[in-house]
Amino acid sequence: MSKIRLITYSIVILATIIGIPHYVADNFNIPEYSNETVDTFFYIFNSLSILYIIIPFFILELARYFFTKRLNKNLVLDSVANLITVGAFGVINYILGLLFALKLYAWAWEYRFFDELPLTWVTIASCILLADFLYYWEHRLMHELAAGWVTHTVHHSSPHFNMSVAYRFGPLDGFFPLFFSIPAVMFGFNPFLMLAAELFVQTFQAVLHTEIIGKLLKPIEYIFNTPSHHRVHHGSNRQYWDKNYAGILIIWDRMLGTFEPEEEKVVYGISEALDSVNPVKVFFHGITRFYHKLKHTKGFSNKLLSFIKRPHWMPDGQTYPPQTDKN
Amino acid sequence: MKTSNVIFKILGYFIILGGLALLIFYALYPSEIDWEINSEKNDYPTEIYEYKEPQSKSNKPTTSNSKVMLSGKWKVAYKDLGGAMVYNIKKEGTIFNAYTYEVQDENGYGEKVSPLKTLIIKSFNKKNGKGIYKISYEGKKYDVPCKIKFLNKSTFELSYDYYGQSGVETWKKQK
Repeated sequence: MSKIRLITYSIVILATIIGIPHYVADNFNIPEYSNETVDTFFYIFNSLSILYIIIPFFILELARYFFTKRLNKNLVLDSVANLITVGAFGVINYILGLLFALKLYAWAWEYRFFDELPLTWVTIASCILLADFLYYWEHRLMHELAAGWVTHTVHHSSPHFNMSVAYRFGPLDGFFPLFFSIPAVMFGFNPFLMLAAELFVQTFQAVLHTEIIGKLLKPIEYIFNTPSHHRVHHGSNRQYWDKNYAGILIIWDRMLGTFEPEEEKVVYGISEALDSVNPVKVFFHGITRFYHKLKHTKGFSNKLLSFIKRPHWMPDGQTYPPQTDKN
Repeated sequence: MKTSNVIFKILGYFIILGGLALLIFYALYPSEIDWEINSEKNDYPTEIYEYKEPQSKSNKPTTSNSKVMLSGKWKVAYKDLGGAMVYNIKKEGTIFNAYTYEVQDENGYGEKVSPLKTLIIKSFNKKNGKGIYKISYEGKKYDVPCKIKFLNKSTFELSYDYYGQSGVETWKKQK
């Protein structure tokens, strides 16, 4: 798909998602929810879902690994490493939030382009839709820009695929979304609603990290992101690279030319396997690999370009063996 | 497909669908669960950039008194419109929001209206307060910073001055 078409489609989608709630707010009287009602909704679906769905499902996955004789030391330590990365990710996010993210949100809210949208079901649905579409783009850029892949490679580096992998985060995985959600706030979506909607997309996506569920009914597979689509996204098979970036709706991938169905058996991980369950190595391997690549790259401008080019990019006439990451 | 795969698949669907059903049940009947939300943290303040928790000199929380003073129905007469509007002020999280409740004609006959958030009181110290007044003007909506000054327990003045448009409204508490 050409870049112009890609940008045009994206602008039309964004204008539609943002325009509808503003049009509805200006022209229809829809009852507003109280803050507590919206808090409760997101508390239930973002927080309680971990307790009632994700943890029981992970236990089921462990039982399945045991019965199929795949439960080994590597898998257990890999899962432990995943949980440690989410802890480290949480600490970094907390510090980032205190240092500047919250201030940026406040600034964006103060200088927003549009009035605050009322807390109606239309606003909430639009906010989730917007968070989902922005997730598609932030996720895509984390794969297609080397600066993004430096941190996001952590999430893809596990050779296993279960719900603990959903919580395998890189050190700056919380940084990239800010470039998308902060401008979104300027369109009138309350910052706290925006954050809750983003978390909702992440929670939905976490449930997709499983091998137990096969393909679902065709209409569901056509519209929604499913475990099958997300297995493809985690595949190191060449045809699965840079595919299926979606959070909740797979239609974004279908519309923007990055959809790939699950056909060949998926081999999980990255092209140059990490081959370690050391949480420190897991968490920082993207940065260390990129650092070595930068050291190898000749020319200052080339070093700078390495950040914004694709992860495998090298200047003409230069090579960096071995080819490191996927993409 | 192996029998064990089928069993795990069924169990997987059971966990996801059962968990989802439980979450939907909780969403529909939130009083059924023993959960606790820290409303201070999870609140949705409208203007977070200038929100300040009101503090009394004695450092004792003033929330309950403020709640008693502000919560309830308030009537505002609009002479130019020849009628009045009754607002319902509710405490939501750490702020107070006023919603449209009833529109009254000049004879005092009222008609209920849909609740639209009109005023957000973000700080209040039992005498004065600050907030955002949502004004519609020539089809456009504006969030106008406003001040509140209590004249007595059942009357406060709401004043605003926004790009040359100023106004003072008297809000009277309804029994």
